[in-house]
Amino acid sequence: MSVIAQLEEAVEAGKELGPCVWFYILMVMGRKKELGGPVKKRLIAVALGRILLWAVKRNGRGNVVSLKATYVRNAIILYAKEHRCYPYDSAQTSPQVERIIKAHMRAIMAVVRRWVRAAPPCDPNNPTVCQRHLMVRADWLRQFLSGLA
Amino acid sequence: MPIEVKLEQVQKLLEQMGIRNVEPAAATAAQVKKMCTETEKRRATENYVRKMEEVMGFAGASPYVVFAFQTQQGVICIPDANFVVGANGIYYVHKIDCRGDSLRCAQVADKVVDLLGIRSLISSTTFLAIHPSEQELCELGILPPTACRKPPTEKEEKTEEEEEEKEEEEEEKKTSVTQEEPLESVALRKLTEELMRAQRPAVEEQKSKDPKAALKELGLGWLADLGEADIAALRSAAEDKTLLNALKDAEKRSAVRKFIESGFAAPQPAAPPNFAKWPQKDVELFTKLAEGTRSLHELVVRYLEAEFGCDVSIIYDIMQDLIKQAGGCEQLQKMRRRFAT
Repeated sequence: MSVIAQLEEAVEAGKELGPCVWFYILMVMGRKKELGGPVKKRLIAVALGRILLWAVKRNGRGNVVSLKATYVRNAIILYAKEHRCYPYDSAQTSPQVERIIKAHMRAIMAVVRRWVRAAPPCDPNNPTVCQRHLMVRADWLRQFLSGLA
Repeated sequence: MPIEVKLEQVQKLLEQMGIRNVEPAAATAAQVKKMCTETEKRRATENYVRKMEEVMGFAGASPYVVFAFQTQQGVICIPDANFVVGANGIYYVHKIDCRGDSLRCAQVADKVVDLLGIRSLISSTTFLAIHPSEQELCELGILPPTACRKPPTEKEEKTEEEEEEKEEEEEEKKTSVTQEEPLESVALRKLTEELMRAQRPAVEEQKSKDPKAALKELGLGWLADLGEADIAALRSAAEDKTLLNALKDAEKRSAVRKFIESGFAAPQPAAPPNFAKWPQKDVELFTKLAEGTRSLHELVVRYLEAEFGCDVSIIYDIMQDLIKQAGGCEQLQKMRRRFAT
């Protein structure tokens, strides 16, 4: 059984996986051969959802969250650092990780944009601004990501 | 100073230095320029030459007396052709053959420089062109102290060697880092490990559960109500293997076998080596902390929290900062020793 199939099965079965698994999924997204197939959008969404849920819960301030690429990237790296995922178990910084995450940002942001489109407007008077700046209400995001996880 | 007086002084100087039969030959600026080797090209700008002539004219130092030292590499002139040639007038060139005794020539050149009052203009490059041994020139005081590099003492030599060794080690480390497998591959391996780990506790949890409940989960709930006599009968059945072979699922089969063999006792978790020798207090703390942990890291985190009573992530950060500030673990140990004394 391929790694990706095992992973999908474990996620679908709701098995308790370590916190670093979500970070590793976002790291190995490009390794189709070794994984035994492409990483499905659903899996990316679950992994990203777990990480962002952690980030949003961690930062309790503000009613609105802007899910811009920089925020998402920083959240992923901070999550890995806080959970001592490789290579942050032995180093404080890793330009290589940042480069890999940057390379995967296109796929990651596609998921984020889909969430933003599904979200209710953060400001009913100005819905286009919310879409443009990828802004969503923090409470909605928490609820949505909890459901996703 | 009239040129005649200066030429007399030059003759005296040469005699003092043991150099005879050197007659000044008149030459034009173009001839001098052609004859002399330029030792410092950066000075050969028109503006610089003009300014230098003005300064030398004002200070009394004259460029009209030129010493041409014949060396193996060519003719080196003092004053240097770079800034002297260009002036209008006749140059009185004193040709001195340095081939075979370049050190004496360097000493003459030094005196000449003093005589003409142009020391600041003569660079160490000119002297080195006449006698190419920096150390000797430094020892004789011909080269200015600023141009001299002190020969390394034994200690310095050792430290230099150590530094070189360190640099080599660092380079080796760098190359070993570049030779390491890519980060994504490591992440993939870690991901697989995590997956394996996620599958393992499920089995362990099943084992540690109440044996009757575990049997029920396996779909063998009817076994839970059996008495001692029945269990003995089952043991013999297990030996016979007919009953067990009837179970198609290998995992369930082995679980039932173990369950029967242990006499319905829940398996004991594996303890660390020499656990029996531990103090009772430590055993209790370990058991308490290890409960529900999924990794050694988590266990260490819990232990440090219990030991220091604060958020362990801070301790990790502090430790990392300390090591980084100290410049490595070895340096940190040295610092610790220094503080202790």
